[in-house]
Amino acid sequence: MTTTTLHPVDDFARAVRAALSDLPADEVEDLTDGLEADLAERASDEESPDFGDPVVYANDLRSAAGLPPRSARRTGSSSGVFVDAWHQLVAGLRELSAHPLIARLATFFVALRPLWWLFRGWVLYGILAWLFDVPSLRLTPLTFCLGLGTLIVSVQFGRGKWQPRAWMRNTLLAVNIVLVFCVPLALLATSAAFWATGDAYASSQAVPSDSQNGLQYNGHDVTNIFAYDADGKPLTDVQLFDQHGKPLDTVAQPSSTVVTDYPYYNVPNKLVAGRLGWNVYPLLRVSGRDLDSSGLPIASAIPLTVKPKNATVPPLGSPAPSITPSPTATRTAPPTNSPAP
Amino acid sequence: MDSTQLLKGVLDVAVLAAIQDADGYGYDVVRRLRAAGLDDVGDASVYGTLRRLYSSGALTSYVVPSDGGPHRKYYGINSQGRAMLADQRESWAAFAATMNGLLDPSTAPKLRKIGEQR
Repeated sequence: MTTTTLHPVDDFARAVRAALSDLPADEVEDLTDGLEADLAERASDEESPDFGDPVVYANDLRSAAGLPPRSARRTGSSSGVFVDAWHQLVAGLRELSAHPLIARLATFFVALRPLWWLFRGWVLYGILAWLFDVPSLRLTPLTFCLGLGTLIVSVQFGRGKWQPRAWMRNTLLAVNIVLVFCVPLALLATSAAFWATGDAYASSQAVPSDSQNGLQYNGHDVTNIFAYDADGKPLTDVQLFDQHGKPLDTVAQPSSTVVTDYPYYNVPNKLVAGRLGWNVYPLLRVSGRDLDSSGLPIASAIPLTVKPKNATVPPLGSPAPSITPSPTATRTAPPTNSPAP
Repeated sequence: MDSTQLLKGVLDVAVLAAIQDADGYGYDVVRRLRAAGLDDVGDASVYGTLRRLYSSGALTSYVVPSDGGPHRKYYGINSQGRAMLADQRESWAAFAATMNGLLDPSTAPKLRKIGEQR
């Protein structure tokens, strides 16, 4: 015997044993004991040994040994138990579906199938949008085409179109199963997108990027912001940004100067180029007389010192005053566990 | 005629006959059957038949380790197997005689005569 024939022999013998795997292990052992030796000898006898299909071989072995064919097997190894359970489940469901009430329910759900197709298309769309990081709830040419495409694919597959081969149907079944598991994901993604658009809507009120409103707080315009450090000292040139990293401007149109308390005007911080310093607080205020025709403060303009009303801010950790200008002021230092004397 | 179909019915007695004089392992038995003229015999069918005859008590079995290779499983006939072989030999002889008579051209008119009596 040559060692070069061993590998195909071993592979074939393994495949035969696999095809017999529904039988009890000792029966497989009895049936295939010495199989390698026999195959190897046959291989050395023949010029180009071809053992054929291992499944056919196993079936021959099985039928000649007087054992039932694989599908007819009712009890057996552990894998056979699962196969049996599956068959019983399918048979039980088939029996159940014969019941008139169940049958009527079934036709009802069959009538609802287009809804599933729609839903499937939407889930597919949600997944694709999530994969390609497309804002799924905003109508753009891209989302329109993507949504239409997934809808058409889902409906066509549902109608049994576009799947002339059996494996496509199996693929569709697999896709359906995967999609069912993906439903929470798609729900999450689109709801996240929904809340994101909600945020965008709220921030479109706060950030004057695409609306006529400037910064608002509880319906009131916010014209200026004052920041204090931990010691309660006022800070200057504080740059503020929103949660999207956009400058937090109090004005809707950063290119223009906005009238606040006539005749005084807020002006953008000069340290930021292009008159974009609307998010640097506190904003400075100049008299209307000190503005040139383009709305910029003239060189000799003297910025007015701006102070908020209720201007005293206690340092952090001090007892809260009756008027608390900021929520941080209420945050008191935890009591220290000093040992009692 | 497809001889594999014919073989199925007589494989038991063929296998018993192949090892009546000397014990043999699976492929050994296949080789003997093929040498006897049963070219179409499938080795899986022979191995399965050996296994079934062993289960029914007609054969003994023992394993012989081989040098450097996988071990071989030998089968030998026992008294029950010999009785089975003798019985099946008679059955076959009777069956073959019947078939020969049926298929022999010289006996064909006789058959026709029987048909005419009815």
